[in-house]
Amino acid sequence: MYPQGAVALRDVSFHLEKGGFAFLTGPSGAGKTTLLKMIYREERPSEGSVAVAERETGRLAVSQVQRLRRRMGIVFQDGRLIASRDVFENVTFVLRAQGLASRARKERALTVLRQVGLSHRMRSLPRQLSGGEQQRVAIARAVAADPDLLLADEPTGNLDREMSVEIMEIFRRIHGRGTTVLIATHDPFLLRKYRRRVLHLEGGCLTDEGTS
Amino acid sequence: MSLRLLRMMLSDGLLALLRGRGLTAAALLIITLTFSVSALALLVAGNLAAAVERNGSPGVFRVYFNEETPDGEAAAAARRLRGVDGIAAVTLVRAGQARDDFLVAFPEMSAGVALLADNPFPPHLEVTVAAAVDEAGQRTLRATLGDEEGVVAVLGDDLWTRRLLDLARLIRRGGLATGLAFALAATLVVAGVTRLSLASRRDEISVMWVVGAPRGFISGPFVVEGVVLGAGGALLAWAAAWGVFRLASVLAEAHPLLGFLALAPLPVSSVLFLVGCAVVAGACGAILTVYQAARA
Repeated sequence: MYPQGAVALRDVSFHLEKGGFAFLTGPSGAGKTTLLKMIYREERPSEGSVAVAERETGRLAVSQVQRLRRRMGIVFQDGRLIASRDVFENVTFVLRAQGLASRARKERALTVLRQVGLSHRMRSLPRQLSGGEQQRVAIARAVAADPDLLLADEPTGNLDREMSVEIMEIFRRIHGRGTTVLIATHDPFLLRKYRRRVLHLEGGCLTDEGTS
Repeated sequence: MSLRLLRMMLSDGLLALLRGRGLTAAALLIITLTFSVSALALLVAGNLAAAVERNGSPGVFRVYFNEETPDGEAAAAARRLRGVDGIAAVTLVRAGQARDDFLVAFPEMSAGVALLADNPFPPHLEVTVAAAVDEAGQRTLRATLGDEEGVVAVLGDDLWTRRLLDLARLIRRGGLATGLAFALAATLVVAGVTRLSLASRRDEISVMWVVGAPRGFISGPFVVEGVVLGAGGALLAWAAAWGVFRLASVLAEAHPLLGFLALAPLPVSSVLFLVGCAVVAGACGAILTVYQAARA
């Protein structure tokens, strides 16, 4: 519940096992982004609890939250790339935050940029990239540190079908390496194409849970 | 804190200063100007005090006896005065010694002195006044010395040297006080720069935060910026004071009346004081602003 009294989520309870893959669906305003924010503790529930890797996030100190976040990869709806830094720096700066040495950062960034097919655009600024390319950079950044949990908020929201499939394939490959993946989307095409566990939110409530 | 994190903080902080070079230059200029006032005050006070101490012989009276006074009487007066309150030391300069001192000071006059049948120089006493004696005490002491038998003159009124030393002390204290006050001003300047820097890198910081960057990694570069700005400003102020010292030295050497000054640059202790104040001010300005932003 937000301070003004608006309820964002109510009676939401689910468990995503380690190495699992699930879609979080629902119309705009259903609470998908808020739920993701609670998982990486940008928001805190006014009641109830959120546990990640068996640790209740609400009880963690700031430094512990930061440590937990370093084990997560987050793809934001709007990409949230740093406009003043090129593609390579956008990826490596997350690795710097993780404390990786310069050489290891370079190698890792090159690897993930190759995986998302952008190794040739390393020196481009975000504004010089298409929407799909920007989203791929955001994915590269999210997976660069080899996270245990990958959260993606409408990663294909502004992309055409072909590009959406391309990005979903990247997620599939990441999941194949053992990463737990939770993707918030309201794209029915993706749900039909990739038959996975689906958590359906509506009006802040978890109304349905099944397989797409 | 790991060495790698420290290196990252340093490189990020310096890079941010380079990126915002216009703002960096403006902040450096303001900090330099503020600390220049303190640096110049310390420079002037140090040189004034040194000049007075070198040329003024503070706290010493010369008590001259008339020409007929034999060395023995002067010696007896010296013994008496050694027991007087407010007198730290009494040195007897016998007539012969007085003549020799004169010849050393004015060798060109030696031929003239040699022509004289008798030694025209009377004995005299050099009376060192205790440091605790104030102006009124000095006046009383001067009268006591003048009352001694055979005394014709008491010279070496050191009130002006004491006043100059007081002035030098005042300027120095003023310099230190303004140093501290300007450190506060520098703190505000750095806080302003940090606030602008935070605003221009808001997106970057928010992403850093959600990807789990440690606090030190996020705030460290801003602290580095503040420290570099503060220290840079103080060092530039020191350079400005050095420039003033060189200019004054050249002028003093060229002008015969200013030869007695023998100017010296700012001592290391003063430079360290200024840089220390500036570093603390810069770090405080940055830390307070980052802390405020984190709370918001």
